[in-house]
Amino acid sequence: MSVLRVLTAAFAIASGIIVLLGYFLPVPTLMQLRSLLTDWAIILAGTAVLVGILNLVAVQMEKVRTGQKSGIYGALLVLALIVTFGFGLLLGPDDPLIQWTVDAIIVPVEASLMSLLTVTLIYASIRLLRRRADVMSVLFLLVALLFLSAVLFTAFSPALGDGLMDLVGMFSRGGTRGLLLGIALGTLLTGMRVLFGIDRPYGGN
Amino acid sequence: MADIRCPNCGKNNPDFLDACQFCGTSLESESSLRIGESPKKIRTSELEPILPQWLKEVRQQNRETTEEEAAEAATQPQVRKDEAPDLLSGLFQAETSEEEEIPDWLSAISPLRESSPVSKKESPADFFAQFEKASEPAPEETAEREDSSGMEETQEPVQEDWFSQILPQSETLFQEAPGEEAKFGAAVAPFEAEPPTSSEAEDLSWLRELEAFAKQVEQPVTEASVAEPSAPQEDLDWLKNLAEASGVQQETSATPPSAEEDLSWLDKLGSVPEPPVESATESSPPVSPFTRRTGPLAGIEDNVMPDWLKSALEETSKPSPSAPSLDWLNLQEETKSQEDVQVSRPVDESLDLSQGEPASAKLEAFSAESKTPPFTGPDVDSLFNIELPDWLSQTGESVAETPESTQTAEVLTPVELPSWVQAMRPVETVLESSLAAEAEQIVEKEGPLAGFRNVIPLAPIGSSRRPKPISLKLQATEEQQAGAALLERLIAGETVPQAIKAVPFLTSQRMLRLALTAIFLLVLGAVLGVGSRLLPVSALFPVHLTGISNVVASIPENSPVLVVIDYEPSLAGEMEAAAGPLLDQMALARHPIFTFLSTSPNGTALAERLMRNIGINKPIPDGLGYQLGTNYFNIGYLPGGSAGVLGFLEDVRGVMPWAQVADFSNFAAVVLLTDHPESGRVWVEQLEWLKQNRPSLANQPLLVVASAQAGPLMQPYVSAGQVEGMISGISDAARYEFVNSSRPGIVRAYWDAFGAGLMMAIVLITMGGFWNLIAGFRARGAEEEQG
Amino acid sequence: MIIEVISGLIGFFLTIMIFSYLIGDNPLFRIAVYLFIGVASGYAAAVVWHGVLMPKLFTPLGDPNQLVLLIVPLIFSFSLLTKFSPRISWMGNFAMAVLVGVGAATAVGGAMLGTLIPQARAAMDAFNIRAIGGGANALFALMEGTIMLIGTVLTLAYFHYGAKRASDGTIKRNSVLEGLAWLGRIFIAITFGVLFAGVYMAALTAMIERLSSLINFVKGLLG
Repeated sequence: MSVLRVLTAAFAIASGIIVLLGYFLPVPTLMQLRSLLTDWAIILAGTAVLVGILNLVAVQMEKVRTGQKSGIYGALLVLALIVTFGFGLLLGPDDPLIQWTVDAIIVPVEASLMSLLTVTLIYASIRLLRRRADVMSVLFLLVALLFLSAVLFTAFSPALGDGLMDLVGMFSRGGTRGLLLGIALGTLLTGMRVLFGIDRPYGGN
Repeated sequence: MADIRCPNCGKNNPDFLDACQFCGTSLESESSLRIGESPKKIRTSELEPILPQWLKEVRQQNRETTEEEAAEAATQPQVRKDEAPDLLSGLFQAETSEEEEIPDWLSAISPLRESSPVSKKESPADFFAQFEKASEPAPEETAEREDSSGMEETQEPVQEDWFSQILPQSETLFQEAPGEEAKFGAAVAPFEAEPPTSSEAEDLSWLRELEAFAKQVEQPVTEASVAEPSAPQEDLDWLKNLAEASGVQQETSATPPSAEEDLSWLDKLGSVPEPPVESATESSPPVSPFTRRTGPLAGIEDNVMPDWLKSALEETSKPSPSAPSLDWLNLQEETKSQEDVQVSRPVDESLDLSQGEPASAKLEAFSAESKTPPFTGPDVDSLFNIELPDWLSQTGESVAETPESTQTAEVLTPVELPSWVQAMRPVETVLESSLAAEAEQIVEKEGPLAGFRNVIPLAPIGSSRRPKPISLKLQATEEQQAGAALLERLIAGETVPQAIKAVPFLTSQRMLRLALTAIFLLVLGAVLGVGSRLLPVSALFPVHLTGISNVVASIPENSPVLVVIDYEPSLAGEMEAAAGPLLDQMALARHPIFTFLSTSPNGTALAERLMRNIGINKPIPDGLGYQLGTNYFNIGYLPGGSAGVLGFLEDVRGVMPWAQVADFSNFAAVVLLTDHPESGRVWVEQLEWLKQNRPSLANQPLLVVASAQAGPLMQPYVSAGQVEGMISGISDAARYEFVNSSRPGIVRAYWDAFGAGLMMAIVLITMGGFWNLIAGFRARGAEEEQG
Repeated sequence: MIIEVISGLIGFFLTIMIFSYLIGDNPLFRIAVYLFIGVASGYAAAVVWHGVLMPKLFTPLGDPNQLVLLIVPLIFSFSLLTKFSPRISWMGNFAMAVLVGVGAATAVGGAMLGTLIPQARAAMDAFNIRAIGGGANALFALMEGTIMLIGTVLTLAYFHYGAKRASDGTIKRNSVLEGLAWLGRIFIAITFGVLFAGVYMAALTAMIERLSSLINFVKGLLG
């Protein structure tokens, strides 16, 4: 293991342990150090966003340069990005023109993409039983139908609707809590692996 | 910091890199030669056919470059033997080739090799068969390029006779059984009788070749003989084609490396004391045009022939430092003289195998003007322990070709050997002193070993120190072979075209999707278009909504409230509709000062859009008259995920110096608008820890407005009391708005369409599910019936 | 007013272009998507510059007191730019190490203190008779707590992938655990059914919002 690998791992472990200890040992010095590290992390995360966007530009420009099929779309993307970024730098993100850009382009496109999911989900649920007709698939669809019906019934018969929702929710909340605990355990394990230097997603492998 | 040298480009890389930063080659230690490991001999010829096309092209380009360089080197003036660089260059030339033994594919490239199919790998039977069949003439183009010196007229009768013999023989030249060796027992008897050669029969090959070529004197080339492929060439047609395409010059220049195996004789030769150089060539008579008729080399044009080959075929105008190198030929003459061979006998007479004097004719040319002292016994031993290089066997053929050539023996005696051959002569004496120092500096520059240092040992090639050939046959266990077979099957399976499903099925799928889309757009559009308000709203509060009104009521007047925008524009419509009733009720009842913080870059714009769409920042009476900078603040984007949230909770001004609130405890309530359970969970988790450690935050309520997709996963936090209240989706929002008699907002406008959408989903899923369930059962039943 | 019309017009056409994907992938859909990605990225870059880097990194550099504290994140930030070059990308590893280390620590602390302990405690509190009180509600609460606890345990059992090698060489889970996992699948199926319904309702609301905006725009044009 080279010196650099050790150094990067030491950076990660040290910063992580300082922040983690702050949860359990509210020592003022430790807390100040933790605040400093979290502040650095915020700045670095912001820089990482910019780096990611620069990478996006580089990839699209490479498509344009090599004359790939989607190069024209890449050019459109880069052009839109540069124009938006340029105006954003000059006017600031709170300017009405920039707000207008969000209202006219970002929200409509993203919301339209999300709304496509409506048809897709219905289509997938219709086709589900053709492909898999086992107990779990039937139960899955049955619960989904029950929940949707419960929401609808609250309009006509609130008692029935709420009763159905409580019934379904009683079982689903148990499963949901199990999922949350599983996620937390997974997060704990993954974080500890990073803090122990077993996993080094920062390039120290 | 230690560096790792890239095995491919040779540049240094930091040792923590897994791949070269210049060329991307893996820097894994497995790819390099470790200290103490012996380099393994690789028969790259076996690997050639499986190389990808691009690698073949690269290798071919490198090969051509190497051949061009070799040709250039060959055209350089020969350096005297005492000049080490030339000597080393000869060694380097031998080492830079991919292997010590000449690969089959390389031999296929060389026209000279092609003309002498007796390779070192051939069995003795093949070798002897060559004697009997007396085939393997020069390439066709060699005959076509016969100069117009009048030789054609003198040789025509011979050619006709030769043609009549070679055509049937050439067909079976390479198909002779091993038993053919017996037929040549008599032919090789004179050689076997000689003491030096009897010690190692294999070393007689060069003499046998000489005899074979001597028998073919003046025999032109036939197409049939040229077309005969050697066995190893059959699988390497691509390389042969490359060789043919590369032109004569490349073929010729490729000859020296192709004769690497034959360099063993030079190793022995190196021990021979070198006589003084004689510059007799200047006084030699003018070269007869017939001296150019040297077998296959005669056909090569002068402009494409390397100088060393030219010098090997004709007299040179400069002193030949390698003249003593032919002393061993004089030795041959002396040994032959013991058998009373007539030196002046015409060649055509000596060609008759029945006369039992096969070697005399070709040797007489070399011995005619010998002026060197005879060799001693050990010298002779070393001489006959060698194999004759192909180029020399060709020369012997050319010498024996015409009577005139024997008469010009004094011209041929000092004939110049190729520079690399000369350089190899004093191998024993020079290697010990100079090459050892160079050993550490030799880096392979091309081929698959490019970038390796000292991969090929510098021991004299052909000597006893030459590393023993190691079989490269893969030593794989049965398990590995089974794995390889499995992988092969998998790869083969990928190449098998998959049957495309029936088009009607795809068409029906698309039609179903289009039909669903049309239904949704029409129904929802109609409901929204008419502005329906028919669907009632429940007046009952579910459990997770009951606490919200209490929280709102507990918020002090004009107190700051943090509103976290944790959703994307895709669900802005739902979140605005869901959050509208809560924020509207808050603004109406408590007039809080909203502070908007976003955990998404787009959130800063969504905050303003939210305030506008729910009508809070509109002027009275349409809205509540909230003003940016007075009644609400948008402090922007908070990056960093959980770290950013933690930093903000601990020190608001430290993270957001422009925030109006100095400490997080100053917020009377926190409203989290989230559409992702993961990001929403981060806020709940970090706030939970902060509340446990700061008593001032213990009573700070956390309200969640979640998208319908995030609501179920946030529900356990509500059940655990970590979240005081939650509005999930517009179904909860509609009820909250209705119960609190808030101003009718977006959610009421959406409610009927939402109900219609739910109804359509229930109907479609139920009907479609049943239909597909039955259809699936029928399809599976039909499949089972069909087996 | 004109800006609103133009905004609505652009939004209208972009929505139609996205909806055209239901027919199949087509250039209109791609144009809309690429345009959206470009604008969103440009806007995000402007927000990060104005909202994070300028106020937190570059502007305070003029203050000598903060310069010392900011020199490290400044160097780290520039080192992240080296990720574009494979030759010197290792320089950015230190910044990434700090980012990952802090992120891992906050995730661990949050998961432990914010989810594991509170949720476990909540599962136990469901059986706290004193807190529940008495009567029919208590019985219902106990039943609900029991079902939720069973569901939690069974769901966790389903995600327990520990197994042992049997005598015949096959790898099998413990038979008890296997049974619990099968029951856990029932709870998971129920949970996913509810989640599916939630996703559908979210998507449905998004479609309603889009249709509503289109209709309102057309209505506005028609007066």
